[in-house]
Amino acid sequence: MQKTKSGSSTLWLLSLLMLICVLTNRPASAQTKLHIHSATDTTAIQNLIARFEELNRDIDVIYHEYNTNHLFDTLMRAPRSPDAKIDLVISSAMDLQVKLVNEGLASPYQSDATSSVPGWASWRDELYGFTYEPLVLAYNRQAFENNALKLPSSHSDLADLLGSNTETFSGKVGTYDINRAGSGYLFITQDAIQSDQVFRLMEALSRSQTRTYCCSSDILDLVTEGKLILGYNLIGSYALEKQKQDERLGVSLFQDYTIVLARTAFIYKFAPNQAAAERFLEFLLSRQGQSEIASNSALIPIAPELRQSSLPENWTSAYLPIKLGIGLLAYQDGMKRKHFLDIWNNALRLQNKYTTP
Amino acid sequence: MSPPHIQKSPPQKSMRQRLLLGMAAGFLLILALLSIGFWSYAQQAANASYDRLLRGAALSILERIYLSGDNVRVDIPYSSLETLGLAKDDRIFYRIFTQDNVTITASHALVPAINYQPKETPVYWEDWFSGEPVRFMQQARLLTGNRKSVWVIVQLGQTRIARNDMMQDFFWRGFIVALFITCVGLFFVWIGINRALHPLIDIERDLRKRDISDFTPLKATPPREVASLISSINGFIFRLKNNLDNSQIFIADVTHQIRTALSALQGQLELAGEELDPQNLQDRLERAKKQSKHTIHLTNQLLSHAMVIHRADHQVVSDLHLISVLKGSLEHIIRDQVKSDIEFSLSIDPKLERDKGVDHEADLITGDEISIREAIRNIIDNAIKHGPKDNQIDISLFTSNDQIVLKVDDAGPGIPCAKRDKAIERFYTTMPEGEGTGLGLSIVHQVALSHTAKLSLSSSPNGGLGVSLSFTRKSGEQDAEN
Amino acid sequence: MLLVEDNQALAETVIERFKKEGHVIDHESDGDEANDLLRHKHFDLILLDINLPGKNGFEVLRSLRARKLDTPVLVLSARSEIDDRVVGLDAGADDYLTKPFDFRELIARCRVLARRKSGHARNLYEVGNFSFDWGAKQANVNGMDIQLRNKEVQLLEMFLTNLGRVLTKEEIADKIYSFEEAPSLNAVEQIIARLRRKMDGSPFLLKTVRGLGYIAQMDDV
Repeated sequence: MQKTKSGSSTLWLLSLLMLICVLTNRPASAQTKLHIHSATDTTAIQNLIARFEELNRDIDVIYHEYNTNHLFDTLMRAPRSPDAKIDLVISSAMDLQVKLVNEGLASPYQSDATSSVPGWASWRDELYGFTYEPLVLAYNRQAFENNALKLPSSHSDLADLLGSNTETFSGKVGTYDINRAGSGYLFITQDAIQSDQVFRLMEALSRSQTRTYCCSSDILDLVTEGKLILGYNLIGSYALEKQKQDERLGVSLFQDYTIVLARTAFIYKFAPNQAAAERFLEFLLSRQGQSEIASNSALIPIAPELRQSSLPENWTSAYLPIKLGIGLLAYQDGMKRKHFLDIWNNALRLQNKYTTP
Repeated sequence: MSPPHIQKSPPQKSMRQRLLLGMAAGFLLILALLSIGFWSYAQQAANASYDRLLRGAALSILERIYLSGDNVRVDIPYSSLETLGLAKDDRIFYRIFTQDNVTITASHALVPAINYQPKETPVYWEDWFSGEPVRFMQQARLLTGNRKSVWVIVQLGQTRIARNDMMQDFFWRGFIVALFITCVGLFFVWIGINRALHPLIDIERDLRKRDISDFTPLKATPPREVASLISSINGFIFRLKNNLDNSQIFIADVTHQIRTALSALQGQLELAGEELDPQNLQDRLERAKKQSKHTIHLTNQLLSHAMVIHRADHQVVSDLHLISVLKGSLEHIIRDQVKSDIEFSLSIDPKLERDKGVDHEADLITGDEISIREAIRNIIDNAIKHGPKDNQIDISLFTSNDQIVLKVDDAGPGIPCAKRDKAIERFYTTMPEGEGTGLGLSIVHQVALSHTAKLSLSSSPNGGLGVSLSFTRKSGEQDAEN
Repeated sequence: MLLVEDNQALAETVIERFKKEGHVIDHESDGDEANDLLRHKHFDLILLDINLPGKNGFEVLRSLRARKLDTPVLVLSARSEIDDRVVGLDAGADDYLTKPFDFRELIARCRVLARRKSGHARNLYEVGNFSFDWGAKQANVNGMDIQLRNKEVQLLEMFLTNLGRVLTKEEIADKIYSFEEAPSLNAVEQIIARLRRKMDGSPFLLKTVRGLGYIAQMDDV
């Protein structure tokens, strides 16, 4: 496995590259190169890739990491030819993935494994979800104990909590900067679709002087350390992984509804290595790949019987998976997106800080 | 009777096959027409259903277009796209623009319909976009503001995957039903044909199993369509039996006649062989010679009789001018009578002698020249043989309505009325034993039968017998004077 | 003369009969052999059977006529008489007889055929006590010349070349009257009556058939 991280320091990249090369101990050049362009933390997926390479010794995976918006921009601008060196595209921003597929950038693939993917997580035989990741509320256990706070059980509870403890939470709530993080935008727009409480919540977040961050890992770190008390709309798999490492972090679900996202993958229409891409997609969706996700990665597999064991036992919530389909394009409309971001930014006083995808 | 000829029949065509092929062709034609109908219906139905989706989406988008100051704004409702998502696998493209073609918001730079005048009813068309056939629709709404009004147009495009699936589904459902009906129909046709042909198969089986001497009629109880066939076959069997019976009687008669004549000849010759007296020997030989002549004449007459029947069976006919046939025959007969004192005369109806060389159909009869010559020869031979030395034989040919009548009158002894019917029978003769063959008039009768002519015997004005043969003219035209 | 006949019994009687009459007669029983023989040898008269081994009688006759030989041929036939007669005469036969036949009839027919040829050759027609000199146009009965007028000679010539055939009054008038003379059927009857009277006692027989015409025959049997 080789990896690149767009926007990160070259030094970091190089060191990792060298590390992987030493670990795998084989020349990279003699292999079929599979270019995966992905918006998933390398740490969450590297075991999976290593396992794939182990099973497919003729394939050498080159992993390009992006954040979701950047990945989308790259794909939109990439040459419509194998020269783009894009084989497989993975992202947690389902709406952006749908938009890319609607552009006609995906190539269809069907197999027994793809037919076992739930209907909501597949589209056009091209785009397939392979993880099942509920959105969670992360909190600092210590802070909640110290302030004798009760965990909110619903979205309106959260609004109430923030509204009645303005002092405590001021500057201590973190969420995505939806201007930059495509998945964050998806999550909040899904909130907007699911609940009329979203604007009340926004107002509460605004009053708490909520801070925004690019990535869930930053928020999780800050909550764990106690610099933040609450992290809103975080990807459950990352949070649970972090919780395993550090007991200071609490992870909670809402009882009214819990949005579930699926990390999705599609094969680039102009993939130079279509066959290798198909093998990787097949691996992701296969029983073997799903087990690997369950046991050896931070992610939660989509296969129903496997995901049960990966989710905490006491989690009984109204899971609302985000349905793949052109409905997701509504909030990707330029005018609608700008309008929504204007409202958000006004609320959080973050005007002129967004970038359009 | 000649033995049956085994002929190589031309390649046979199965009636069942022909019927089945004909019906199958008909059914296939109907199936093809139905398929075309199903196809266009399926296309319309699929388009109609999914066009409704497009229209619903367009309407819900149009509802959410508003003026904000002088700017047109649109808030594309999540539900509108969700509606379009009912066509699960189809991609969509949209563009919302003003009447001046200024884009308000769009997923793609779509090209609007040609010569589009904004209106509130939708316009649909097909085009190729982003590598796929796409159904486009366009609908407008007039936004009325304080200072100006502006048409805002929504253009939606949707790929055809769901439409094509639905269309094929409709089509195949219809087609399979039609195909099933076709198969059932053909099956019943097959059964029907088999049932209809069953009587024929029965007849075939009956005829195949039938003994050569079995002349009973076919027992099949036929449907109306083949009833006449069966009755024809039964009629044929009946005639065949009659023919065979007649032949058997004829053969027996002939055998008797020839054997008798030959026995007489042999007897004379044996007596001659035993005769010692030269004068008596000469006498015996003279009688043997006479008997031999009679036998020859008998044989010739028998063969002539057989020939006439044979020719009648084989229907060798042509159009004849009775005059020329008669004249030709007379020349041959009279040639041998030049020395005799018999007086011949010929009279021909002047109506029959008009326009020589022109064939008036009414002057023609249909028949066999050779048989008719035989008949004429036998009538006149009879007249000569039975008449006195200075016989007067008058031959005439005249017309009577649709008949042409040939009449021969002689001055012989004639035949009494009571014996006239008998005279026509085979081997009946008024002459002393050993002189007449009894075949002359029988041959004439046979010719008359095979020509559907009428033979009648009467008393002649010359004192003897009058024989007349009436032939039917070829056409019904009677005495055409022009 | 030549007899071509495959039936041995019939052939023997015919040969014997002709020998008695003082004729020289050859016999062949095979069509092919007869055909070969006729290529090399000339005969005054040929009696030809139709049913023969090898070539049939018609074929022999056709090949003979194809060689432009006018040797008189009498066809003997046992087949259906009229059919054979038509084909035989068409093929170039001069006369026919149907088996079984009377020997006197056969000899008489042969005589006519032989005479027809020799008569033309010597320009003299002779039957019994009658003779006619074609060149001098002189008829003779019992050694006496008959005085005949022009029209009577024409008539006699006409009958002699058409023995056994019916001549109608109209045919006769057309022939013996020129275009300018007005032909009268009564005149024809008168001429015929005179000719008949003058020929009385000769074998020349003339029969009138009312409504048909006249037919002449030589009584030489």
